[in-house]
Parts: sequence; C-alpha cells; structure tokens
Amino acid sequence: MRYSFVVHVKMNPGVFDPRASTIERNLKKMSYPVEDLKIGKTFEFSLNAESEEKASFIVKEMAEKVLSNPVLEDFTLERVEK
Amino acid sequence: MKAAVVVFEGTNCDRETFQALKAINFDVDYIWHNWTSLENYDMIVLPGGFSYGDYLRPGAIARFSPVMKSVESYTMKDRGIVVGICNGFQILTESGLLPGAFLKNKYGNFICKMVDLEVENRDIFTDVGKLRLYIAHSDGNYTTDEKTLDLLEREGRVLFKYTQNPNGSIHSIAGISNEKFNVFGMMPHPERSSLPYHENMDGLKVFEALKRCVK
Repeated sequence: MRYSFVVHVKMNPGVFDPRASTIERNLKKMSYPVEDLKIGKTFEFSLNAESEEKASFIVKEMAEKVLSNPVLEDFTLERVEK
Repeated sequence: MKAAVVVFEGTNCDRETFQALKAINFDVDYIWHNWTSLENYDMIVLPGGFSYGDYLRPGAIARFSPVMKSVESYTMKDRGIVVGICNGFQILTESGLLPGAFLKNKYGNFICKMVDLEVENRDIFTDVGKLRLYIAHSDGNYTTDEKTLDLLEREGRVLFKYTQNPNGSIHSIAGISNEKFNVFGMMPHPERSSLPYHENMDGLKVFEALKRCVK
C-alpha cells in the first residue's frame, strides 16, 4: 500500500532563530500583531509499506534520525490522504 | 605520516586543506565519501564546504555516508585523529562524534572574515597563545547544554575561543575536542592561513599541533 505523510520540523522552545525574529519584527512594523513566530520545515512524501503501522514506524525513525536534530528540533508527523 | 582529506558532494575546501597538510610533510590522499578503508591513515580531515548543499541541515546528510561509518570505528579503535573544519565540524556534531549542535549565526548573516582567537588548550597548542584565522559560515552559532559545556571547559576540551564573538556561539567557543582527544572540530579555517601567499601562517601551527596528537 502507498501511504502519504507530512513531517513538520520546528525549533525547540527557547532556541533563538534570527530568521523568525527578523520576520516577526517586520510583520509588526506592517501592523500585523504577531507574537511567537516560528519557522519550520515541512517534508511531504509517499512510501510503499505493508501496513499503515509499518509506514508510520519508518517515517518516525526517519524523522528522528535524519529530518530533525534532536538537540535543537522537534517534529510532528501526519498521515494524509492523497 | 599519512593523512586523508575526505571529499563529499559539495565540499569546497579540500584543495587548500590538502596543500596545508602537505606543507607539514604529511603524505596526503583525497578520499571520496563512499570510501571505507581508513586504516592506513594517521589523520582524517573533514574539510569545509557545503556538503549536500546544507539543504537539510549542515552536515545532516554527510553523516550517513559510508566513510562516516568508518570514521566512527576509526575513532573507537583510536587508530588516529579526526579533524573537522567548518562543515566538517558540523558533520561531526551531527554524527554525535562531538557534542552539541549549530544554529544560524546570531545576526542571521553569512560571515567571512579574519578573527582573533584565544587558545584555551595549551597542552595541545603548546607554542601558541593567540591565533588569527578566517571564518566563513552561516551556521557557526555553537550550542550545547549546560552540563556538556561544563565538561568541555573542565576537561580542557575547548580548543579556542573567539576574542570577539562573531556568531553568538556559547562561551564564544570556536573549537572543541571529544573526551579521548582523538576527534577535533573547529569553525575557523586553518587551511586558509597555511601557505606562503596567505595573509598569515597561523593555520600551520594548528595543523602542526594536531599532528603532534597522533600517537
């Protein structure tokens, strides 16, 4: 079966990201009252696996080991219909 | 003595690193990232550049290459020493051979300039107190947890610090080693200060000190 996933990776709370800070500061200058802006990465992909559990297991391992750096980042994974 | 300069897709400091090592009488080879036989080498250098474009995170893809698996066993066996420069340092933190991680520079800019460094570990760098070397990076803001930081400081594993912190790096750290002192990482580029036509030759002192660490 073919399964599709979206993995979101974002910085842990308290990790300073100069890009997010610059964007937030300038959005405020444009009168958008935003707070706590974070920039993340999104990975969208599909894979073939025997079952949804197996697919989720593979994706979780990949997100932990490769797509994110546990020292700085956290991730969420989402199964999507395509 | 034999040294290897590892070339990944996107490495770009390999040639100067090769020449710098040759200048201190190493017999040097380039080795490709899928090479796995490292036993003949006394020093393995992971040079600077943008391995795999830094697209995922600096060093994140390079750490999974076959050569890095061999680098791990090379350090476990204590065969020789491993030196990561700039992107090489980032690869070593991603692989867990050195602690910590890199954030974007505090002010968000790519910095390429000559910086002053204070030598912290005088047991390794016996004949130098200060160094002037180039840095060239976007992600040089080294960070780690308090406990590790304390260990690095206490065990003499901080090699050098920036005199004026350019990138937000914690405790102004510019280079560290592992606890066995056989893996070294540094953001400054000693290979860019190693040849007669360079601005200075401070980098050669760094390579010579590291060469003395080879048992």
